[in-house]
Amino acid sequence: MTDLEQRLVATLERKADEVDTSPDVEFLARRATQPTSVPRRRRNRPSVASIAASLLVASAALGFVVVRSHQSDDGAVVTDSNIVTEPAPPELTQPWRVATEPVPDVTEPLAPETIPPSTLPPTTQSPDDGPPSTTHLTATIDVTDTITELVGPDPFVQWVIPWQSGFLMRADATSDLPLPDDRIGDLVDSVPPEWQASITDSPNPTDQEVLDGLKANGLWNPAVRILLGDLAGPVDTSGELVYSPDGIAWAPAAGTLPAGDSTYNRGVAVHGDRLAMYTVIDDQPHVATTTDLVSWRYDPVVVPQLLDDLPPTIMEHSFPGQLVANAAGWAVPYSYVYVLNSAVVATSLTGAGKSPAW
Amino acid sequence: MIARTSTEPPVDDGDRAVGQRASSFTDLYERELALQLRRATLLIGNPHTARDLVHDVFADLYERWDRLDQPGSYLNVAVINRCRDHARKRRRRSQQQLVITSTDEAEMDELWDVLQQLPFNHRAVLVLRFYHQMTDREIAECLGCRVGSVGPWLHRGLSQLRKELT
Repeated sequence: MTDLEQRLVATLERKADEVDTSPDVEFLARRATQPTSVPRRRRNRPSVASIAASLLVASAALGFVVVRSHQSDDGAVVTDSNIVTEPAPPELTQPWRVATEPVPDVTEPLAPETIPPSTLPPTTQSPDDGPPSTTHLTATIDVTDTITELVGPDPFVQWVIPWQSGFLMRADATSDLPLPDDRIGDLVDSVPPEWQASITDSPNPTDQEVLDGLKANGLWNPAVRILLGDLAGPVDTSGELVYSPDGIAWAPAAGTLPAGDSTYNRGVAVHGDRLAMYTVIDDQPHVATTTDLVSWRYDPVVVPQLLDDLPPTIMEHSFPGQLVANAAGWAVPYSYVYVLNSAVVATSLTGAGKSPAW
Repeated sequence: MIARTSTEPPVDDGDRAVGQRASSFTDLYERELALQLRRATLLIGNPHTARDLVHDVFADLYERWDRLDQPGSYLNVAVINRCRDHARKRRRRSQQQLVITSTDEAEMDELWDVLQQLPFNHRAVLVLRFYHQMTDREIAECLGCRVGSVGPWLHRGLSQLRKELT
């Protein structure tokens, strides 16, 4: 055991010895007189609705590509290659349904002059027009199965960027989170009957059929994390780069992610044929740059310490912002937080790491 | 050093009457309280909050008592999850507010302060390994993570401690 580990053990033991471990007599007395609880399914029905709503949100956020669209508020991944000419059919506005309509040809963009005036988005809005429309979809393509085949189970799309003449996507597959055996019943109870019917083929599914249905629909991890209250906890992921020339057909990209932990989803920028990604290698932030996704150049991000001679009780933490790039190179802003005994005592938004020339 | 891990109580398959349930629950409470209070305090830093948090878990455990085959396992996982929730909320509050506080603690323990600044999972791995003497597998079960995640978190936690203390 190293000196640091011995010191750590001594500190933990000393702090633990200081804890008042006397029992709470009133707490025990209340338990002793408390009647048996009612069955869980009935008692927890209100919380089931909230869990189901959360599952809906979680499932809708996965793996959809919308072509010929302006920015959407529905959580789908969108591209914006052409002007929109038609509203979406109703079935295509529900992101958990697979579009069955023929996909319009996106290789032949309509010239603005060919668009009927009545279908163009209004440039001004009168007070009687109601709330402005923000979504003008022409087709929604469910790419969940495709990305699952390429990347792995329960994929999550971290970002999509323009790349070469098409699109580059980084998607992370997540392995199933472990759930203690004694929580299996709780998880099944958390899925209301109407949901069970939608994820299984059985009218009266067994627990195992419900669990299989959750996994088959990519809902296992969201459900486990909600159940355990572990929404920001660890998830084992493996990321892959996939490429599409048109946003519809996706295939593995000819290349790899840079070394290190590059999961920071605001840490990607593209300029022309150059791509920059923020990655952390051995606790040292770097920006990796490439033109072919094969050869990566790694430049360490020098994060300056803003204040010198800080007392040891105040800790300085720095956080990266959005990575940006232009012809001159890349830049990443940093914000700073100063913490004294778990409380933030000052913040700063200055400071940036900037690259040498590309 | 003696490993500080909880022992799983035998399951009582007999009468589930209130009196017997309360008796079994009291046995578990008295056997586990000190360990869970110490664990929660080491994980979140504040003994008073830890006491409230552990008793919340015990109250929840009592509600679920009839449906749990292994209440000891439930207790271990639930306390750590509550600690993680608390740490997350505390971090959110600290990011959203500009707060200046002073400490009432007479002793400024540098290592303790640094330990409290570590990410929750790094801190939890250090506490479970160096105070509770748990194996990687036991730690993974408590934290609900892969066994393979424990080693890197342990390494990062120690590295960060070493870095901040030098």
